[in-house]
Amino acid sequence: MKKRVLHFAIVIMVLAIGTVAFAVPTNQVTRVQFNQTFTGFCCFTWVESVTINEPRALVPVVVTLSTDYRATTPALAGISVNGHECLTTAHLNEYVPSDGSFASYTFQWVVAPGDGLMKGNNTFTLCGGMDAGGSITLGFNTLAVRMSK
Amino acid sequence: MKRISTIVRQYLIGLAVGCFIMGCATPAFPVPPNEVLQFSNFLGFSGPCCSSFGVSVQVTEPAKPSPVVITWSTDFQSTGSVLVGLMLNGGPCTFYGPASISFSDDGSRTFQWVVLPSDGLRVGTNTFTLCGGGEFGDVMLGLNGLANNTNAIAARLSN
Repeated sequence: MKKRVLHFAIVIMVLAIGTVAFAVPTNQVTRVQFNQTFTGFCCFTWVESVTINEPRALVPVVVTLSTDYRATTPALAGISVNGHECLTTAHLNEYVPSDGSFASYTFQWVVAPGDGLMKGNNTFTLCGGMDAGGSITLGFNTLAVRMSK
Repeated sequence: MKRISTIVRQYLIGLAVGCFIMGCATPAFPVPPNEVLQFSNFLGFSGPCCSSFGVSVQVTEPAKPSPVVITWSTDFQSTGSVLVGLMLNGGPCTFYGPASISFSDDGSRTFQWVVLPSDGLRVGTNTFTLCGGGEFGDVMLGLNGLANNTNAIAARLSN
């Protein structure tokens, strides 16, 4: 009986260690608290990125960008998965009032396994550019990724 | 040989029982009610930035605090540009991400804010209160919930 209890305890300990290992923090959220100006036609990297660890059986992830911005002409924003091309662009309207104020916008992208996800670490980099020349200034913003389950 | 097979069998049974217990426990965690809030009444504010809107959510941090993601969606009416942010545990109104509700008579906005442990998150209960006001002076701001609960705020641990 003692042996059974001991074996059971060992199994539980192994499972517990496994659970803690899954809790290793990844860079699933990022926050920027300064202005960045990007000039040029779509699409190129906007530098900031987040990462998430995918299990063996890939699951879709949700990436959310929430940002203040000023744009001299309409702009496009998207996500590059693991360094690949800029996907599923979102439209930001022109916004350049003389009072210097910013507009805000929040976008959500669903990235499916077929979009280039892979087992292990996956990186999602913000990208975009202007629709017709000009520039966009991103103000305070956040970028976050989470699994869809 | 028989003894080894008995030990292996005991381990497999233990593993199965352990997995069953953990599998049952995982879906048993509900979203704590303090982490989400929907309000269906009209909330009106006036004045310059920044003062409390009196609307809060709470998150309980573990021994090692992790970042909190707060999402707020609202319909609104305003008479000028508005800035919105959060007060962490009753502290000053701070912009943990985008803050601007640009001037328009009405519309809808969603904000996602990220609050980091270095911002002052503490072990146990943390309270996040909506705050804001006019960017360039007095404005009148109305947050509409109405019957369809279009005004909702939610907080969750990022891990």
